[in-house]
Amino acid sequence: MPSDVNYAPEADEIDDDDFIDDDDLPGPSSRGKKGWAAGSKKGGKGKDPGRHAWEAEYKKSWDIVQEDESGSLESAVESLLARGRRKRALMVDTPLRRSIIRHMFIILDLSESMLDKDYRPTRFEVILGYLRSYVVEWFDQNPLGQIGIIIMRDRLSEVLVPMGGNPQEILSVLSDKRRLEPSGEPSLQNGLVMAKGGMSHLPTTSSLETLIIFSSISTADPDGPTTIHNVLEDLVENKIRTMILSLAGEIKICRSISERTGGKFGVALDQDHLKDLMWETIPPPATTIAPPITVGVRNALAAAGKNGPGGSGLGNKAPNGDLMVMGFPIQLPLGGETLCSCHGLLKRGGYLCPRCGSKLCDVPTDCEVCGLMVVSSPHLARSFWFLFPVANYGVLHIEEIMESSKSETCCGCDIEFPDISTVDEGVAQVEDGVSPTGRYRCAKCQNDFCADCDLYIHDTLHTCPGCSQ
Amino acid sequence: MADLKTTLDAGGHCVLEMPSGTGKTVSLLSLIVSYMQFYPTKRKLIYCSRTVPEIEKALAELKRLMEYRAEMGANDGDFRGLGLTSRRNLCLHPEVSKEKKGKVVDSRCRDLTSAFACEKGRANPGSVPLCSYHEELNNYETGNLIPPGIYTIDDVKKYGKEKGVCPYFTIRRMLPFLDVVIYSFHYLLDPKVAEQVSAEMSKESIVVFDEAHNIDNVCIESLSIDLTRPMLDSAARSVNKISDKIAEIKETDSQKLEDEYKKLVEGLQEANEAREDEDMMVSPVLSKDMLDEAVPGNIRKAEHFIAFLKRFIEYLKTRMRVLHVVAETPQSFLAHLKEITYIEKRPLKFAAERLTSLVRTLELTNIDEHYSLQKVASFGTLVATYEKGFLLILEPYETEHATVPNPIFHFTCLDPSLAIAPVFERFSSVVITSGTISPLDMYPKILQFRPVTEQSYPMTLTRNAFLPMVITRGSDQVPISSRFEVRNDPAVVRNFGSILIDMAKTVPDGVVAFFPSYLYMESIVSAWYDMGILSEVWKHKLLFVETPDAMETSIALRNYREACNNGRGAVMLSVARGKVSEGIDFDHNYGRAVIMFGIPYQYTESRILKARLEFLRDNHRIRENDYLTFDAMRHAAQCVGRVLRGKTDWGLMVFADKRFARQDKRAKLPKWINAYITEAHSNLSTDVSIALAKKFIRQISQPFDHTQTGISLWTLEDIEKRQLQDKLEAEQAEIELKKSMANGNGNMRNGHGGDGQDLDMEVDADFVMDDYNQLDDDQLAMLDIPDEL
Repeated sequence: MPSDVNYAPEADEIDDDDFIDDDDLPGPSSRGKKGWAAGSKKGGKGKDPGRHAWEAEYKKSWDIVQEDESGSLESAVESLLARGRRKRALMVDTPLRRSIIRHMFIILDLSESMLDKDYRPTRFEVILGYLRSYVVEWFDQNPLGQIGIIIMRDRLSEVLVPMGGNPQEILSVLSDKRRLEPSGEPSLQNGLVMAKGGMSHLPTTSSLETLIIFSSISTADPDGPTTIHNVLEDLVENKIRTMILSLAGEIKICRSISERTGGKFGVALDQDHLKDLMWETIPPPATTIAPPITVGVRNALAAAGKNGPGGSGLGNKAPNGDLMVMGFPIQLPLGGETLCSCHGLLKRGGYLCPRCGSKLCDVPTDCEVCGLMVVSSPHLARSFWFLFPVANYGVLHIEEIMESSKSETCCGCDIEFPDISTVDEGVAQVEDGVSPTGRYRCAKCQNDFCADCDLYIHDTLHTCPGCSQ
Repeated sequence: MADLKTTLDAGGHCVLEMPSGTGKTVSLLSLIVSYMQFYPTKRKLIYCSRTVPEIEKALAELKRLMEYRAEMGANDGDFRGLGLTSRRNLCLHPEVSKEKKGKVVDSRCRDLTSAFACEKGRANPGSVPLCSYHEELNNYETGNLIPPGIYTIDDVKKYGKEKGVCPYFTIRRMLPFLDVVIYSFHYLLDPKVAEQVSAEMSKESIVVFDEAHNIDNVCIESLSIDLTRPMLDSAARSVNKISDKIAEIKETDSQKLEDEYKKLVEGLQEANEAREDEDMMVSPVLSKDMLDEAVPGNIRKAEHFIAFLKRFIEYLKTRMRVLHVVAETPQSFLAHLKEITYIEKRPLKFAAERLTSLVRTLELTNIDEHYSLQKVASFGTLVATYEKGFLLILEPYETEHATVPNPIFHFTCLDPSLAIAPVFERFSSVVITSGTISPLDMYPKILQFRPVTEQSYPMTLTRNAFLPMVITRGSDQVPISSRFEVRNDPAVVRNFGSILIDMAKTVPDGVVAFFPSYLYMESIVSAWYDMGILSEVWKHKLLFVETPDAMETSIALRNYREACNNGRGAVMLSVARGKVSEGIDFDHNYGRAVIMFGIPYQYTESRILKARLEFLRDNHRIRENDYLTFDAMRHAAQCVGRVLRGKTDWGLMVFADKRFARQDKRAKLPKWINAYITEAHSNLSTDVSIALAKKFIRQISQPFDHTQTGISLWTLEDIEKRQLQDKLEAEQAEIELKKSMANGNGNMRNGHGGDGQDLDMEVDADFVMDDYNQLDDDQLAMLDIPDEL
C-alpha cells in the first residue's frame, strides 16, 4: 500500500541552538543515582592508576538550587519546569519535512578514556545505562527506524549489532559488559567508514544518521592515502548526518564533521547534560539534507493527496512528498513453530509479508525476501506524533481569565485551578512561558489545562484531549 | 580609540596595549584613515609590523576597510595604500625569483637594475643583462605607476605581471605618493635601510608600530654588529680583489678615479646626490650623526683607502687571537687602535661611506661577495662614531666549556633609544602598540620618549574565552620552579612531566608547551624520556619539538598542524624565545592550551646582557631585576598570547612555576590576562588545575552566539545612544562648571563648537571598529569578514 509518510505539513523544527539554555543549569536530579558502592568497586581494579575519587573535581550540588528570599525552593523548581516549557516554545511553528524512516548507527567510543571516573561510577557504565534506555525510547518514538551499533576500540571498529529494528536484540548485546570492555584508542575514521559501509545499501528516502558518543580527545586513524577528510567528503556526498556528542570537549575534527554533514555537535557538561543531549536526537530530524527525487506522476499524486484536487504543483512552498512502498503484514497465531526467513530458526508466531508471504519474526523490518518494508499501522500512527504535534498551549493572564473563564477545573485531570484572587500581581511573571495563573489554554478547543497536564499532553500523550472530544 | 584621537590631536606619541584578536589593526587603521581624510592636510600613515604575514594581514584589513568606507559613501578620492617587503617576496624576474636566499636575490637584482648597468644597457642594448620588469617602469609617469587603491602584496605582484613592471620598484618609487605604507620595522629603524626607504616620508606622518613588544631589541640589533674570524678572512680577500680591480682600472680608465677623488674633495654630501636609485650600501650610522664634512685626505685615494682597510682588518685579526674575554668601550678600543696601527678616529668614521663610493666607482657586481667587507667597514664607522651606549665584547669561546676558540667580536648597542630617537624626532605622532607590552611605563623609559597616552585595554568578551591558571605545586605538593638551583631536581622534572601528561589527556587538539631555553628543554625532554613520561604523552598526542633549525621547525609545525586537523592531537614543545613563540599563531584547534614551564628569564651569564643591564641601571635607573622580570614576563605573555587569536577562539593558559604566583611577576602581565587570574586560580596544584581545566573545556565548548552584538560590538544605534549620553553628561558638567566658576576658561574644552566635529569623527571611526563580526548584524552587514579569521 502506497502511502505518503514523508510529508509533514505541520511538523516543528527544533531550533539547532535550543540546548543553549542548559549551559548554566545542570539538572540536580539524578546525580549519584548509581551510587558510590559501584564506583569504589570499580576503582579498585581500574586501569587508571593514581586517579582516585577524591582527586576528582569538587561537586557543589547545593550551588545549583537556589533558595528565594523566603528560603523556599519553590522558585527553583518552578524555573526548572519553565525551562522545558521555554524549550518547547522555541520551536518554530512552520511546516517542515521530517523523515520518519530513520536508519541510525550508534558509534560508541570504547577507548580507555571510557574508564574515566568523572561520571559515576565510570563513563562506560553511565553510557551503557543511558544507551539502553535511549534505544527503548528511540524505538518508541521512531517505530519505523532501525538502529545498528558500532564500537571503536584499539584503533579498530567493529559492528556490534547490525542495522535492525528490534530493540530487544540491541538491549541484550548492550547488557553484556564483558564483550564491551574498553581498551586502546578510538579511530573515528574506521568507525565512520564502517557506518558508511553499513548504510550504503539503504535508499536515500530514509534518513541516514550516525550518533557518535566520543569520550576520547583524539582519534588514532590509520596511516594511508585516505584520511579522515576524505571520509568526511564521502559522508557529505552520501548525505549521512553525523551527530557527535563529546564527553571531553570541543574537538575540531568532530565539530567540522558534524557541521559539514548537517548534524549536531554537543559537549556534555555532566551526566545529566549528556542525557539531555542524547535525548535531543530522538525526535526525527528535519530533512533538509536529503531532498527527494520525485517523479512527475508521484509528484502530482502527492500534491493532489495533500492539497486536494486542483492544488497540485502551484508553486507550493511546502516540499513535495515522496512515495514509498510499504506493506502491512498478517500476524500469525501462536501455533506451531515454523521457520522464519530472517533468522532461519524455528519460531512461534510472527508475521507474513503481504507481498511474498515469507515469515518474519518482528515488525517493522524490511522483508528478507522481497525487500518490502513491513510495518504495522500502530507504528505508522505513532510516527505521526512528530509530524502533527499538539500545538503549544497559550499562557493565560489574569485579565484573560476575567474575560473568558470557562471552568474552574482543569480539562484534563479535573483538579481545581488556584483561585485567581490569590495570584499576586507582583510575582506573577516568574519566567517566560510560565502562566501566572497556572492555566494553559489550547488555541484550538479553548480548553484550559493545568501545568502538569500540559506537560503530560505534550510529552507523552501527543494528542489534545480537548480537541478530540 | 578616543585615546588615540587625543594623541593625534596633541601630536604626540602613545603606547597602547590591546589584546590580540580584538580588532587592533582595524581600529587603528580606521581611525587614522578617517583622521587623514578628515583633515585636508594629507598626512601619511606609516604602519610598521613585524613579519611578512602580518604585513599581508594588515594590508588585507586596510583593503576591506576602504571597501567598507566606499560603501558607506565616504569619498576617498585617489587613496593609495601599499605594502613594502623585500625583493625576495616581490621579484618577478624569471631567474632571480627562483633564488631562495634574500641576500642573493638582492644582489642579483641590483646587478640587473643598478644605475650604471641601466645606463650601459640603454646605451648599448644587449651588452648587459637587464631586468625587463624594471625597464618597463620607465615608461610610466612618475607618481602614477599604479592606479589609486589598496593593494596587497599579491595584488601588486599580479598587477606587475600583467603590466610587466617590477613590483618592488613600483612600490619603492611610489612611496612618496602613498597615503598608507605598510612595512616592516627595519625599514624605519635600521639606519642602513631607513635612509633610502624612509627618507622621503613627510614630517606629518603618523607612525604606527604594531606588535611592538620587542621593539627595543629590534633597535639594538639594528645598531649592533658581530664579527667572526671567517668574516674577517673573507673581508681580507675582498680587499685584495678590490685592489686588483683598482689596479686594473687605473690602467684602463684612470679618469674615473680622478673624478671620484675630486668629488670626495668637494664633499660627501654632493656625492650622495648622485645616488638616486642606488641602494648598494649605505651608511650604517644614523643620518644626524653623519658628519657634513669632506672625507679626510688620507683615504681619498683608492689605493690609500685599500691599504687603510687592510690594516684595519689585520688589526682586528690580531685582536681576535686573544684567548680571554675582553670588554671595552669604543674609546679605549680606538686608543689602542691608534697606538698599534696609527689609524685615526676620523678616517675610520668614513670607512663605510668611502667603501660605498669606491664600489660605485668600480662598478662592481655581485655585491654579496663583499658582504663581510661591508660589515667590517660599518663596524669601523660605528665604533668611531658612537662613544656612549656601546660596548665591544670579545668572546673567544662560543660556549662556556668549548675548547676550540671561535672568537666573536660583538659590537653591541646598549641603548635602544639611539636607533628610534630619529623616528620620534621626525614624526609628530608615533603609536606603539601590541597585545602584550605591559608594564606600559617600561617602554617610554627604555626608548626615551614621553608618551601622551599610555593605555592598556581589557578584553570585552561575553564569555571567559580563556582560563589562565598558575600551577605552583605538583600533585605531591612539591613546589615547581625553573629556578636554576632546582630545575634539574627529579621531583620538579617529574611534576612538570605530569602537568604535560595530564594536559595532553584533558585538552583536545593542540597543546603548546614553552620552555625557557633550548638547553633546558633538551635536558628535561631527555629526563622525561628516561622517566617514561614521554611514552605516556604519546598515548594521547603526538609530540613535536622545536629546534634552532628553522627548516626542521617549519616541518614540525606543518605536521603539528596536520595532527591537530586530523583530530589526532599534538603537543608542540618549544622555546619561549624561539621562532614559534613569535609570530606563529596557534589559533583555534592549533592551540587549545599553552603551558609555560618556568619563567623565561634571559641567560643572565651572557656578557652582552650583563653590559646592557648595567647600562640600564646607570642611565635609566632601572634595576637589573626589574628589567629581567619585565623581559621574562613579556615573553611569557607573548607565548601564552599565541593561543588566543580572536573572539571565537578559546584556550587554556597554564603558568607552571611557583614564582608566577608572586604579585610582582603577575603585575607585569598584560591587564587583559591579569584580570582573569583570580586568586583562586593563582596557586593551584596540578590535580586541581586539571579538574578546573576539564570543567572549563566543557563549558567553553557549549554552543555560543558569536555575534556578541551589544557587548563587545556596538551597532550604530548603540554608539549614538552612548554619544547622546556622553553629550548630556558633558553638558551637565559644563553647566555645573559654569555655576561653580564664572570665569573658568576650562569649560571651553567641552564647548559646543568642537563637539560637532569630534562627534562626526567618532561615529565614523567607531562603527568601523565594530567591523569584525558585523556581518551578523543585519543593518551593517556589508563587510564580508569570515567569522573565523
